[in-house]
Amino acid sequence: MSGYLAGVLAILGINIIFAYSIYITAATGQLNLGGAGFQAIGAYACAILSNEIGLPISLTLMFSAILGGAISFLIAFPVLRTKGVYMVLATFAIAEIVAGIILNSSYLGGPTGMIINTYIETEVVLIVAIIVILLSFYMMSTRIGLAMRAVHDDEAVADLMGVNKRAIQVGAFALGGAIAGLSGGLYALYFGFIEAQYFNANISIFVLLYVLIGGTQTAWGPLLGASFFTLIPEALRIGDDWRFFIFGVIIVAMMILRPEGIVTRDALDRVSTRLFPGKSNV
Amino acid sequence: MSRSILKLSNVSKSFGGVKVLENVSFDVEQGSRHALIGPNGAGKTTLFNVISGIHEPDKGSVFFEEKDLNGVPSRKRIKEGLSRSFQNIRLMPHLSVLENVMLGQHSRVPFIDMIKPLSLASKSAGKDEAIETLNSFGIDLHRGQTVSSLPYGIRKKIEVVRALMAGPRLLMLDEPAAGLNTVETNTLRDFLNEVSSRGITLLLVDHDMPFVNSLCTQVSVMNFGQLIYDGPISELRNDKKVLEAYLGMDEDTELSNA
Amino acid sequence: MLFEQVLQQIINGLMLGSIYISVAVAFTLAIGILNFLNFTIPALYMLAGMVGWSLSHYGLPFGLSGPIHWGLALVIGIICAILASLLVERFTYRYFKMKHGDATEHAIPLVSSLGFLLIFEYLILIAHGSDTRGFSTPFTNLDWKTAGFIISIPQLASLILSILIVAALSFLLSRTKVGRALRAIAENPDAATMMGIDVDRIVPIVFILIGFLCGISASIFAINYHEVSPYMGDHVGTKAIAAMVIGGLGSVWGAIAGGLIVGLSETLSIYFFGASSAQITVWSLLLILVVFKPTGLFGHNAIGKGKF
Repeated sequence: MSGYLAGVLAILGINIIFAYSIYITAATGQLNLGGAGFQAIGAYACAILSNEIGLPISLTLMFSAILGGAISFLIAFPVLRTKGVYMVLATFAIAEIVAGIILNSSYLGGPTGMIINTYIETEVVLIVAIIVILLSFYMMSTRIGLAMRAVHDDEAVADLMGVNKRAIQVGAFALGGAIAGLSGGLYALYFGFIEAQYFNANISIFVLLYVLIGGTQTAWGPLLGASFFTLIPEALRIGDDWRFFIFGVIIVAMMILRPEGIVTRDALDRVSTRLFPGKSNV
Repeated sequence: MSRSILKLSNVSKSFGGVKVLENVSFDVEQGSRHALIGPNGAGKTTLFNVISGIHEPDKGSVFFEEKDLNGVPSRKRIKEGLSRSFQNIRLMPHLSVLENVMLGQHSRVPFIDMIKPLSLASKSAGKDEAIETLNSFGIDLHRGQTVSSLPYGIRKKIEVVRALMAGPRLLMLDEPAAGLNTVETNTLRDFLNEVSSRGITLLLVDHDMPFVNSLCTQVSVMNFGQLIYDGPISELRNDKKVLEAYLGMDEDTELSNA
Repeated sequence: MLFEQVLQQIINGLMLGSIYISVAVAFTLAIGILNFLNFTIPALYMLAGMVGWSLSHYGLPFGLSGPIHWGLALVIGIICAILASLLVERFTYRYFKMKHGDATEHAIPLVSSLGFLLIFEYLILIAHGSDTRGFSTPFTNLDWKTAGFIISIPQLASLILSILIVAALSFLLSRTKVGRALRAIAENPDAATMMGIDVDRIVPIVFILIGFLCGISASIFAINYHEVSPYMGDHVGTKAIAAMVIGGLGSVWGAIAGGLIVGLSETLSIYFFGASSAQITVWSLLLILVVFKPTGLFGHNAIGKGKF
């Protein structure tokens, strides 16, 4: 694997994992515009654990995820009191607060960032990405996934059907935080350097866009969305400025052409009837 | 006299000073087919919402199988054996027909089945039962599709099937026959007769009097939030208060057929 | 001495807040009337500033003219922001209104506005690079020293101007026919249509106002701080969102109070806890408000709770 290809694949893997973290929350109908904050928590947890304690990589990554999950579990209770625009703003605020705390903490390197003294190969990133993808697909295919999608569509009716809406939403938010933490841990270990300025509002916005453009109705959405927006600019080999300009144009166009995302239930149904005529699709 | 499955005692509810329900009391007998009728705005849907726990009553109590439902959250009432459909269809637009129906089973699925993939664990996860019930309603064709593209009549039926999937002892249907054509209404009646013969109590709101008449034995009539009649459907047309309330009613409320 | 220094910080904070006011009002109009969290606002603000700088530095594009007087350049900048805002209206709000009935039901306008944010920001970056540019005006050292305090006169004028504009806007909303139509749309777009309000003609007015407010605010910033940059919108945008929430979504006067509170807490936090503490202070304030009192100081209960 060439160095260039390895680099692209590693970024792709991290972006896909990150996208699933936001997707899990979005699948229950909640928009999280604070992804960067949870990613930063995982990245800094990982940096400290490997620098100060010297835990093996697998444990370090596990703890990044657990910490991300635990913090978002605690945050979920106040945040999920909010609805609609307020939830978007609350999660956005959390990411800004996390970045602010890191910038003010000399222990975390403040504005100069942190160097991590262990590193991982691209393969590790890809293996973790595949595990996250498979687990997400698995979860969405169970009754838990069904209940999540029901809460997304109509909270009140899901409640009357006996779905514990609050447990589903808090669980999804915490799991999303854990996966975001994991992606942050991988980022830290792969690049060997982290700084607060990287985990900014743009990162949160981009990852939410990957998910919304990919589509929140099925587990294919984040995979396609993240791959599309990571690989297309690489394939076009254009400068950063043009890349984001085109990203913007694609977003506006997508919202006009396919406002519910690239992959929708109906589209999947059409494809599967064509591929397996006569077989019923759940 | 047989035991009552649902007992309303002096239920009152107002919204912003407007009394929507005023001291409503009646019993629904175990195994009966009970209709709740009344002009639009009489408070029928609000009463349904109080029974299913969407609204807490300001005053009075709802007893289900002699258990006071006060303080039981709406989510847990389906587990008690009480499920309902909605007047304006409330199916999940992004779920397939089968998934919508299987959602109805949610309250009685053990946790271990919650974490099995639906496409593999068909029998234990209740999928066969869902498909069978859909078939008995003649809706097997559409089960892979999301529901939003389906015709009204079919969506209406799916809602009834979904409510039934919870395995309720009391099935509350809010205008199940509204918008259905004659053939569809007849299928629905046959189906509900079948449901009733399994010992499930029916409580339904509807404006289609021939339908109500041919299905139900008991009826409660509401007007302006108050109960004005409660008794056998056969004596409804002789009741003075009911006749008064319906004089000058809109034409689609065809009491003349009763 | 400490007391006087703190007082000076309070003055500085209020002046800084005056920059946030107009932008916060722009946000609050979009949310309050259209239930639309319009993320293009920071980009419109930046666009006005950068176009103004470009005209006063290079002149019209393609060498059509030499450098333009800074005042005229800023006016053209404001017009550009208004035109860009109308473009956003065309492709976000109006389009989805036609297609889905009620545009506010979906996150679509929000996502589209994020797309436009990228488009405008990177267009400017492509054209002018990422450097901060000096914006020269004749008002460099117009400080008014009184009782030991320093008050910059352009800043004071800006604060007064911001408040006057918002007062005019408030008058427009409460007293005029257009204002009544706007409030009817805010209550219920479908009912407004039935009442005979031409929603498609009234809604662009909101976007014109948004562009205008962003342009004014950017001009005030350029005149007071003598610089513009392609990133100037990000900082002001996030602070203005905070100001909007603090004042209460949809409340024009709340946005003024919110803007001043954010400006104050920012300068005081920097004074007492150091430069990078402002971020934590402002956003914690916002988070607490959103969770415990989402209506803010003057907000309306129903705004912004709609589902995405």
